[in-house]
Amino acid sequence: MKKKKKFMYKALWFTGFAGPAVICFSLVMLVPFLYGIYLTLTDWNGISAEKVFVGMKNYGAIFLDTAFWNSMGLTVIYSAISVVLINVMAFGLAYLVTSGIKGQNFFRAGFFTPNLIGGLVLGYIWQFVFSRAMVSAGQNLHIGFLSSSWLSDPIKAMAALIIVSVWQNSGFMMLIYIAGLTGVPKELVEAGVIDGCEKRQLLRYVILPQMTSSFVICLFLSITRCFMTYDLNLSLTDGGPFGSTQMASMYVYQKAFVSKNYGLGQTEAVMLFLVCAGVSLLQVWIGKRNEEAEV
Amino acid sequence: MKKMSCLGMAAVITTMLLAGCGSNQKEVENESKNAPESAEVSVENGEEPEAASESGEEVSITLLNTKSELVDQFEEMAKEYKEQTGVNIEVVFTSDVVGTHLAERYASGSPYTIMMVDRPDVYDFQEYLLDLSGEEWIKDGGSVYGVTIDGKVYSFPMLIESVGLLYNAQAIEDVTGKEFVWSDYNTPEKFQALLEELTAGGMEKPVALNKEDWSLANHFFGQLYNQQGNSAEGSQAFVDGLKSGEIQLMENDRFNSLMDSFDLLSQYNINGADPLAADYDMNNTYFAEGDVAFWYNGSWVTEVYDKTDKIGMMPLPQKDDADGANEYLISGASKTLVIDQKYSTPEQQQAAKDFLNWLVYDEAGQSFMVEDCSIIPAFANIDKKVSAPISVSAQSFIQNNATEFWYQTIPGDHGTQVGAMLQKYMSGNIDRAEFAGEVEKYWQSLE
Repeated sequence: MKKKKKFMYKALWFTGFAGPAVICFSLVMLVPFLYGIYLTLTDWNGISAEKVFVGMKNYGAIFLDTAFWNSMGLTVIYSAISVVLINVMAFGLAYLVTSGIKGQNFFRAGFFTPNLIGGLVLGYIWQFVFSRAMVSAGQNLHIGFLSSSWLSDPIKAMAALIIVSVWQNSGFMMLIYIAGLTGVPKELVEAGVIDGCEKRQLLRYVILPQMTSSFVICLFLSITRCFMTYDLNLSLTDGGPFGSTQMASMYVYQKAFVSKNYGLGQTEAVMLFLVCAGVSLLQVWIGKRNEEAEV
Repeated sequence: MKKMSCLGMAAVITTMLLAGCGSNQKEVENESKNAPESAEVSVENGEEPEAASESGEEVSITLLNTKSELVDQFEEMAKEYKEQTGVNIEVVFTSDVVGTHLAERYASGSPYTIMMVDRPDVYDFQEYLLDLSGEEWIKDGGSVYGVTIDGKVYSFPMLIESVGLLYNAQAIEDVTGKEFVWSDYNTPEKFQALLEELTAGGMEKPVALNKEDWSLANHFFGQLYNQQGNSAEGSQAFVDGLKSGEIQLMENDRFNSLMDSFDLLSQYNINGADPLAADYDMNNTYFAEGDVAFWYNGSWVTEVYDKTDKIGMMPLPQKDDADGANEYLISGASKTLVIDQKYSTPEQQQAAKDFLNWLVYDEAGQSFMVEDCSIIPAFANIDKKVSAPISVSAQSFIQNNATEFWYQTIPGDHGTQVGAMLQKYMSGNIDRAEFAGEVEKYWQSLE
């Protein structure tokens, strides 16, 4: 009797605190996710009330859709370059603004600001920069590679995407690195100095090993963000020039809603999810193992 | 334990990715303004439909407008309509691709009562749409310009639009010193001679070309499907031939003639150094200011009368003048109104039909279309004349029966797919034969 009461009491507490979150999460995440998986088994066009069950046909069709794999490859390249640059940049900035330079709080705020602007707005602003401001500067100063719009050349348009994404994300990652840097115990640093470490050695052998967990988080966040990029892709290049910068999220959207092939589009979304989840989990697993080994 | 929770978090965040892909929320809506009022009304309708229909005052309908230049006019009209008839119309605007936007709305079970769509959308959404065959306006032009599927008319032709070469006569006359009459220049040779004359006279690049998908693929390249016997059957037969692989574009006169004209325009394109950096608004400015004399676009252009009213439209001069290609202006009902029958109550459907009748037969409705929105009406009973010069120019072709059929049943992804191909051609990445091959491949993949 008493045991049962205790259980009830616990259950009540649990529902009280976790219930709302669980319900919200189920409604906006789990249910659509499962429903989405169901849609991959149909040939729905996104409009009709009728959904014909076609089994695994869509999963077979993915492998014939070479354009999808192109956009996937593009996403991987974009993410790989962006993730490295974002983290190098973010760590550099964090190191700079914790080193005690003048006005460092101002710089912290400044570097973080781009992250507060939504991806769509940011894309349109940079579109103006790349296709108008830079071109006009390039033509007046006779700088060859600036005098035509970057957005009309496939490789330069990709570079533009990466630059903007680094600019946008490194401020946020910088905050995490700042937290990591200030969390390094003072006595360890002092001990290092007494032992005769130079600045570079101090960074390499004392500070960096203490920051593994910051790196794990930042890498995880930047990888998922880059794989999911849609808004920036849409507003900066809109997949152009001639569809050469259309990344996976955008391709999936086009497939489902513009080509009116929702079943296949949804299947490709599931594929994108699997790839993204796989990469993230692998990275977290490796990071965690290192972290445990270091400590 | 820590490891587990971290993995859990990873799974959660990656799940968001998928949800993010599925539900893109970038719609531009201004529903919030009337939200409390309309919510109240719809609840009332749901609970006591009879009470609502008896009073007749309570009906409230929604209308989706997809023409950005008409946003203010529609808002204004809704206020007047409410005063005149007591029916509340809530106007919503979206700048999304209409079919995509409606697919999202129908997926969530909340479409609009009246929707302004493009013609291909009528075929896609047909199962949800109200059959309008019994309406009065059918006899006054509805059957000609509305979309008919299996003998039933499903759409109300809101307006007629034309596609072609816009000219700024003032800018041309300033250079040449003589009056510009478009029919003096409607062959490629005469047209090129004029372009040369303009260039020599100081207008460095007399043509503006857009880089947008819809303009390049659907409007410019669309002429290939339009100029096929000047009939729906001719266009359909040509498209079927493309799908089955029978038609070889490189051996097709219309294709080569069209691409020759494209090359000619490209040669004098003000954005020629970097054609894919073209900007629609900049082109609009160049044209309005007279920096260029020609702009391939359509009768919907409005913001060009700051400097001069001597602006009009002409067909694109082509080598192959079969099917009146150099005489007839491509015209058709592009935007069209449809009524939802699945989610709207019978009262709302009736109110929507009444609204369409009001547009055609009521003085206020006619003046809203013709005077406020300067659109060319599709109905024979309306004798009001449009005043905007481009519309006047287009209307003169329509009144002289000098119009080319506009094939508008192209697939939804024709714009993005063929647009990308034409962009590649335009920027010199592929040649004409490669371009033709890619277009053939696109159509054959649809078979």
